[in-house]
Amino acid sequence: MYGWAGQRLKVYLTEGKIVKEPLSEDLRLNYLGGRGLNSKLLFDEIPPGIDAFSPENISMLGIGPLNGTAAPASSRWTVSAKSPMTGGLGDGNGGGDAATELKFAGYDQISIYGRSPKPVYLWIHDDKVELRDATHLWGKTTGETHRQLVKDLGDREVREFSIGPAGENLVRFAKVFANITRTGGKGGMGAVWGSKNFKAIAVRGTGSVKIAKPQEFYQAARQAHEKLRSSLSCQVRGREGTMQLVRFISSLHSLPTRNQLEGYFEGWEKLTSEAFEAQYAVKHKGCSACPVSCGHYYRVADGPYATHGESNEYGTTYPFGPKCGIDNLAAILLMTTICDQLGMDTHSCGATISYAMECWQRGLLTVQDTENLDLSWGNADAVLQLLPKIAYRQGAFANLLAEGSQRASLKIKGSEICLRTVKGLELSAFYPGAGANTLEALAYATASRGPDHMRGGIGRYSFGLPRLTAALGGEEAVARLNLPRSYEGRGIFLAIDQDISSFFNSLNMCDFVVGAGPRKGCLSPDELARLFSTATGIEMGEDDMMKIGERISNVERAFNVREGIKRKDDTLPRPFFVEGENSWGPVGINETKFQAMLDEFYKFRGWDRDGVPARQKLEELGLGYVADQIGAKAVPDYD
Amino acid sequence: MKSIEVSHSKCTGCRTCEMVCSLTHEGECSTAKSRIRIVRDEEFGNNVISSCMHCAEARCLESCVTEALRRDPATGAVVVDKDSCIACEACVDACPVGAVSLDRDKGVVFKCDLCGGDPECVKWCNREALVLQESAIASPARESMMLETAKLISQLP
Repeated sequence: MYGWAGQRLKVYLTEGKIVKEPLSEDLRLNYLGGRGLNSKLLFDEIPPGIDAFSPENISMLGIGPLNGTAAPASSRWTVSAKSPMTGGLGDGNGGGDAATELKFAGYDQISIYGRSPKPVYLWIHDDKVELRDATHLWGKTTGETHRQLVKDLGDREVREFSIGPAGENLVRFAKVFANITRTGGKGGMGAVWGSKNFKAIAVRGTGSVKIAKPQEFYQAARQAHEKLRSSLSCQVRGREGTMQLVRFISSLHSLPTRNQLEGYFEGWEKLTSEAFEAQYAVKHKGCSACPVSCGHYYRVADGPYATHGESNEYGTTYPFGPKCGIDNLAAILLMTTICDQLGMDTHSCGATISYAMECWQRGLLTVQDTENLDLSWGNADAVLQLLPKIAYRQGAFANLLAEGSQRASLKIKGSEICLRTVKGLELSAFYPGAGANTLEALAYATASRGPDHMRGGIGRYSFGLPRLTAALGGEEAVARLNLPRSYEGRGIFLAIDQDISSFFNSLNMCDFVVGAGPRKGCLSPDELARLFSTATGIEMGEDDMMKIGERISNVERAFNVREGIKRKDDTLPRPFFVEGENSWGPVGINETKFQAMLDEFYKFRGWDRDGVPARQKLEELGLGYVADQIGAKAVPDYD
Repeated sequence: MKSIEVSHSKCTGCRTCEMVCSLTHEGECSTAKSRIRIVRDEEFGNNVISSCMHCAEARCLESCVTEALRRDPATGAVVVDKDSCIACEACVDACPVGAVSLDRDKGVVFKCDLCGGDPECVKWCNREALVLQESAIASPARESMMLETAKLISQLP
């Protein structure tokens, strides 16, 4: 087999049993790998209505047909399960080179069932796969786990996916970590591992990825690498990393400031990539086959915040910086290290703390409630004290925050107003109230894993595609996508953008190399399809890829609908619907027009007014069997 | 004569060079079948590039009892004559940086051949960690680079 390894591993923790199974042609051709494969299996195998922490939940780890090849940025792995945060689909993808190692070992997907009676980890060494005792690893940080596994297995080239103490302690925003710092699994994928007594996957692979047409694939990959190397966005990203976004997003007045109520943070200049580069950057890090290499190692040499680590990003800077009102970059880097080592998602963790800070500001929390922590905006030392307490669930207050902000709000009376959640998950990355962000608003409201900036819409992957122009009805309509305060065409644009995200997440390529429009100058769906076709020998073009993307978007929606997530959940935090003016311009999303955007989105998707995919659409995508399980109407109920 | 000059500190550990090396030599992507190897240090990023320096007094070449390892007169590269190799692995053991490996399927050793003078790894490296240099085979720089690499590998955690 070309591209894929062709094997799926089923690990039954309760019984301590491991089964190898061929990866079916249906799964490969219709879902590709990674995200799509996982999402399809989640729909098929997880019974509806289960508790995310019950043994019936299944953790899926998937990679795609291009992992382990020279295709650029083909490094990602996706971990999925029913989310303990949203009760719907949970997933996330991370980088590094652990996915590459897994492919070389000969596997495309690992499904983890049941619950082990004692802590275990999975050791994969090519054909040899075994569950091993992890009692000695339980309680260890991601870094300690890495070092211990290398020592135990006697091979420094062992790669691992692991959870930290936060995952073990069922912190609802615990993630899975590859190679210590490369993380994925929003919405508590690490906590799902913890609930299964599952500590890690250690993997070593010495095999190959077979390439169907080596010369053609070489040409496709070479062109793709060259294009990315000459792309301005990749050059900037390669130099500054995602920290570049601090300056950019600040200029849009969209930095999520003080629990995301404001879009401008006065201390932003202390948190830029320039500030980072001048003080703390050590060297660049690249994930597998990546010509961008946006990652950084960092070191704070001395002082109260002395630390070292890797992978400080915009996504680790804004949650503790602007969001908590902290302008001390060294302190933020230490918070990043703590989250990585203890195994927590910085987005939800920072957001939950900023939620508590707003509660404090409003007098909804007192020093008695917080166990003597002063949660004033900008109190970095309080946040640093809180982080390990949350990870270890020490004390009633930290224990409450470990549940995430939505669940905490049930206990902190009157604090619903401080929530910035959709579907129970904290909103990431941007403040969509300001300026032109109607587009972002719809993206956050409808993303399948909760309000997220990496699922289409915000990446603008479809800009410049004839398909988008045709769907919108001309270039003028495309231009309107960039107009401030416009609500037109967003629904159609977002559906296309989400489907692109669905398929490239399933090829497990990195977001940063996708999007051929003027903003990015990266790879188009057609170029991705060429990499896929030459590697696997299966001819597919843009249309085929889009169809796969749409199928994946729909199966994910179906999973959520079956769990009761519908139109009522495709919304925004209430404060974002308050319209007004601020020093930099209009803020807030018009709710009536927002609902009209939602209608446009559903209609274009072939979903009914309640956001449920109609049978007609599902059958068109080969998902007829799904319709029965979600109460689908025959056709969408539009005039 | 050419050689590949490596700069360990510039290496981001992306391993594109390995994928491309195996792709062009074997038609498949694999780190195990790559002639160049990146030994990655996850925690601090002190990656080490393990690549053949085509040493003047090449230990691999000297260890070979069947003269399967030879110097390519055109490029100066130490190359393998597959038909003469008996897979005794003397050369594998002789190289201090692990630049010679055994292909168990084919029963022959493999190593960098400088791609006939235009190495793919250099073309694809995006951080100038690999640079093609004109240098005499007997250049002391080659030997010292090899010894430096061996030292760095031994120091890795």
